[in-house]
Amino acid sequence: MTPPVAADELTSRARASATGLALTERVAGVMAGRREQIEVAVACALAGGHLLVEDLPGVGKTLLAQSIATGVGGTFRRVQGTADLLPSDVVGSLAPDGDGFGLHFRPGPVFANVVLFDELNRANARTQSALLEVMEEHTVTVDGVSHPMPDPFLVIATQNPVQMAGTYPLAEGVTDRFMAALSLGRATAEEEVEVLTGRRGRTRLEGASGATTIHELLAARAVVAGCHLAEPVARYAVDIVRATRDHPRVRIGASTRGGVALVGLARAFAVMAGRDHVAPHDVTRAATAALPHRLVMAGSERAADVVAHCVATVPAPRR
Amino acid sequence: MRPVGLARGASAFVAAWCIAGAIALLTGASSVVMMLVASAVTAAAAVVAGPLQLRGAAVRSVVLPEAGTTGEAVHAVVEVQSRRPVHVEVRPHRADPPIASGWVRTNGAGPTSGSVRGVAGRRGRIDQVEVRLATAGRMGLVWWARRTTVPTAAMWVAPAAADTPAPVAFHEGDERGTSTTTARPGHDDLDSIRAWRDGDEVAGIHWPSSMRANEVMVRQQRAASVLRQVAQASTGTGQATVEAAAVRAAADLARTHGALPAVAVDGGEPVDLPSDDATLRWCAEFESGEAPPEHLPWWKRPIGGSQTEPDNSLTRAARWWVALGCMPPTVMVLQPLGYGAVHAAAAVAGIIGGAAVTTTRRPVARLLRQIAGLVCALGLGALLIDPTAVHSTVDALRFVMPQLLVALFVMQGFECVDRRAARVTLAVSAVLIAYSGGVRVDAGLGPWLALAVVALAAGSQAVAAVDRKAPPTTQVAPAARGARRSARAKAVAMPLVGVVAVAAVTVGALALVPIPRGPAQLTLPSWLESRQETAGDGSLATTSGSPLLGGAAQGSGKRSGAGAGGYPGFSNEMNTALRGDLGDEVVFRVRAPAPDFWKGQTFTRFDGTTWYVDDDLGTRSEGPDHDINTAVGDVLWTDEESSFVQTFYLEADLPNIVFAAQRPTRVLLDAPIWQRPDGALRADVVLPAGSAYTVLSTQSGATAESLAAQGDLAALRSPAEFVQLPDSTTERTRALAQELARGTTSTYEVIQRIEAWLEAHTEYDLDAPVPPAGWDAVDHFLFESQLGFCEQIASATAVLLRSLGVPARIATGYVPSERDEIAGVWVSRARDAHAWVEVRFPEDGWVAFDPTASVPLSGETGTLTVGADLVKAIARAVAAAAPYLLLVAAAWATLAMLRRAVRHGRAQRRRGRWGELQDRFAEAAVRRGAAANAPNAHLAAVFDAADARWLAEELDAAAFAASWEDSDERFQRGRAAVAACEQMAAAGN
Repeated sequence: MTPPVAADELTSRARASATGLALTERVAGVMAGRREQIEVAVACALAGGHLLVEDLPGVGKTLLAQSIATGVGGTFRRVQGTADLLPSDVVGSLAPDGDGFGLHFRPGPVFANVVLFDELNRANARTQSALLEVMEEHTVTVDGVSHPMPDPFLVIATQNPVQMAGTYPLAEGVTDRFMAALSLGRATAEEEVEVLTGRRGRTRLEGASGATTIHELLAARAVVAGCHLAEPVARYAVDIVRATRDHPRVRIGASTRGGVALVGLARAFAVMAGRDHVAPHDVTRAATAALPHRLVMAGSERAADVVAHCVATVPAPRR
Repeated sequence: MRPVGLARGASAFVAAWCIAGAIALLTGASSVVMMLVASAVTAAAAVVAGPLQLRGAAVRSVVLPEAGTTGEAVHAVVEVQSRRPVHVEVRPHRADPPIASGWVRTNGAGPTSGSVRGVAGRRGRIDQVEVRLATAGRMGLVWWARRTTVPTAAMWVAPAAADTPAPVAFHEGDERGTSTTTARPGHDDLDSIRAWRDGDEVAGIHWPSSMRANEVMVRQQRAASVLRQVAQASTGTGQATVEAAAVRAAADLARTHGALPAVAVDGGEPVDLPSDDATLRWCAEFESGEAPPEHLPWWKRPIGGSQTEPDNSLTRAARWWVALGCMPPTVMVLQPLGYGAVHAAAAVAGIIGGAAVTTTRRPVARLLRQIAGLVCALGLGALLIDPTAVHSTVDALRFVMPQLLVALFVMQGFECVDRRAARVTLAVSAVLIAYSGGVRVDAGLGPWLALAVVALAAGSQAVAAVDRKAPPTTQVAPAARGARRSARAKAVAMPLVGVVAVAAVTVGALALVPIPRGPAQLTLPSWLESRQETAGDGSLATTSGSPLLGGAAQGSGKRSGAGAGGYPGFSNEMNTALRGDLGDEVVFRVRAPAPDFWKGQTFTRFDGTTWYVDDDLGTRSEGPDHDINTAVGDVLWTDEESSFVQTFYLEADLPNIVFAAQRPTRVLLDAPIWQRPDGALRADVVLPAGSAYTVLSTQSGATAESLAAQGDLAALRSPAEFVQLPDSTTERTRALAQELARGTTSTYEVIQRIEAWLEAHTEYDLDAPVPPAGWDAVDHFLFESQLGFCEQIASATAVLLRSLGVPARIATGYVPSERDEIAGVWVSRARDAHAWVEVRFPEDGWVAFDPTASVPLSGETGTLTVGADLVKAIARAVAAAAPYLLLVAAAWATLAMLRRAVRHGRAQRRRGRWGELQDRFAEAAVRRGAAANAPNAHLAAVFDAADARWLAEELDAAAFAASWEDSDERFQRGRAAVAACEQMAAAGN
């Protein structure tokens, strides 16, 4: 017999699911359409990962980040990537004390619950790597003193894949730090009408507030981390990751970190769907968001196609 | 589809087959003939296995990398539809070497993707590839290939960068190619800030950043660093590839300089090469790539340029299978040479040692292996070869050659590290099997032969097997369960069908092969195990203590008390009252194409109770090759057809009687022989067990018709001694003869009537009563007791014929009572000692008649075939082993069923009733068009029903949830949902 499910576990799961749903609904209330992308973004927040949004200007990248920040209700900072942006501009630096003799740490804009880093590829490599360090370590170390990040800490970076002139393309190691990458795509005509008439969009940003709280989000993250992952499903995730490495058109396949991200995102999807376990289709869904940006392609093939192909070749586990 | 050649070392099998053929010709052993035909049929099957397998094979798709460099690794994925593993070679053009090759291991259930690897070749753009599928079937001997051209997404192959870059023209910048700083503060084209480097201009310092960073920072402007380095290429040089390589080198160099590479052809407008990929493509397509090499017809290709079999590696398992295959032949060869278990064990240990040395985890150095093999072979040779036994060349053939062969064979095992060597090893063991099949005649040959052939076949298959543990990853798209099951059933059934077909064709072919008429004149076996001279006067002699010679004590009045177990027919006087007490032991085995009477003695004179041998000793020939003179009454047959070769392998000590089929013309025995005028042969030595001698006889070829055609023999005048009758012959005996002869036209008919009369009026009884003293033995047998055994029957027949004036006499010897079909020999046991009647026909000489022994007339033996023999042997073996076979089969079936039940039960426990629902659900979804690999939620999508979605969720929960509780209610709902899905799937089709 299976052990009875503890009542508090049930409620915490339900609350985590509700947190995810509420956040999705509120963000969807602001954004025009694009439900799937919003769910991926919310799942990323629930899984404790960072998000990379790649798309043209004006499709709502910033709005997505802002609405998530508003929905979570934590602090929100925004950094605009430019060529002369320095690491210390981002993470903070030592500044002279008021008396002019000592130095004290002046926190940079990353010290926030949600950080939107616009046009990450326009910042120079040094700044990019400083940001990545923070994303990975969740601390800033200046002059030998560590300053922890607030919790939750979510970085949403955007990049414009078209206007590449004068940019510093993200290196493989950089993109690997993001749990998921998504492309928002265009809204439908009806949705655009709604934006123009003010029923959606930035004007509605305040509507997203109060979707959830930082406390709720942290609790939901704990639930996501504890979501049961059966051995065959884990094996399935590993098989998909390995398939990307064996594909002839891929120069460098997904890393083990990619596998971790894949499973983390799948867990968040499972919790959002109200399940206590990861199902195979959570993994297939997570694969399209968590894997393509990690692949280094040998040619002009689209990474998303390769991932789709790999997912199709690996048999899903069943009972 | 066409054959492409033999596997490595397969020619050794051809050589072995030829050697076995020579052995068959030299010895006339039917076991070797069986091996020859079976291996020929197997070879034919191995030839057709390839095309049969390739028939259904097809290439679905080929995925190549987008870019490659000549001489660098290529990794391609090929999707193949095939029943069994195939070897795949991908090449851009027919005449190119393969750019990727490897095995794609399929399970036959559906298309399979396999990774194949190789090295990129010729420069150029590849839009289609030629894929060669090759296989040699399970036996792996004859390779067949099939080529198909498959379109593929383009792959560009560029030459590797040359050492010397192409000449470069610099545009828009200075020649250093490094970034520079310029003093243009406030300008918009600021690209980046970087730390100060030596040489930077002070004007380039960016003060705001320097303040914030606490170090001196300078502006860097991309515009200043963009330098176009234009490599110069020219067409028409005839060395486009060299040009392309130089351009690539120049582009690489430009990129390391931070410049933008470009290329100008023949001084024309420069073309930018913005990325590595662009460079690569330009280099690949420059002057439309390299032309494919000219296709050479096979007769122009260099010898040994390519190997048919893709790999020469031998797996450890295969090596041990080969070792197992080597053991039975070795024991088979050593056993009949008189070696015991110790020697056989030593040889087997040598084989195991060879296998162990060649399968170590860390390879043993070749020299060490060779030394170990040499030491092993020398030791084995010293143990097996007894130099004192060798006196002549013939001795060397028996006492040195096989032993040496075994020692060399064991030594070769230490060198067996690849497929070629393994096949050579197996071929040599096949030769050993053929050798022992040629020299062995004992009953153990059959089982050993079966064991050795099975081990050989297993070893051969193991060598050819594709290494299942080899690294390339393969993703098998699982088909629906039904397809998987049928593929598995096919994988089991096909080899079974193959084996049965090969067996059937083998037996069928063997049915056309007559039993070899005997060895050629070259190698007629003849040897004496030991030499024990007799008095040399032609008298009978025997090894002391041998129970086979006559001389039984008379007078006890009871036949069963006759003597010391000897047969009275092998003495100078045969008292019909006596009967030897004869055992079951094998006296000799005779390799001969047909059965015949093996005659030892002839009796002419009869006195009413006892038959007497003539006193005349005849002439003596010295041998060892005796030409036998025609005896009195015999007819000489000289035509080739009548030649009948028999080799007697003695297994008991025999007297100096040389047994032979009528009518011997040549005897090979290394001792003087007395050629008696009555046709019997006596040697000047006794013939001990273990000896062998060969007799060549000519057979008259008499048939019932030819004998009948010779009419009444009484009309001819015969020598008085052959129609002599004792005075005691009674009137009623003569009257009976007259009565039986009445109305007949030929003596043959009379003989038939006599035999029929005897059959009707007398009974065969070994314990027939002894006639009272003075009573004529024949009269007593015919009219009083009417009980008797062969002596009585033969005597009566002879007397009846003689009373009609037909020349008749008594012969004694052995009859062939059973046949060892595998060894191809007739076996005679002590109890097969026999007496029969010989009647002289003018055209055929002395012809033997016997109603009790079923030996046909020489002209009526028909042609015995090896196939009929084999069928009989198999039938007998099956009949003998039927209870055991049934028992084993029943046990196996029970075990298999138990195993299946246990597995099924375990799977049931693990997967439960929901597992069954899962299978049904997946099958229904696949039938409705879902991808077989998809997870349940996606399978449910094809049904577009809430119940299906619920079921998918539930199935996933059942499989992957941490805690999940089954309930009947949900199961019922699930079952209903599955049923609905199945209905939808059925309706959809």
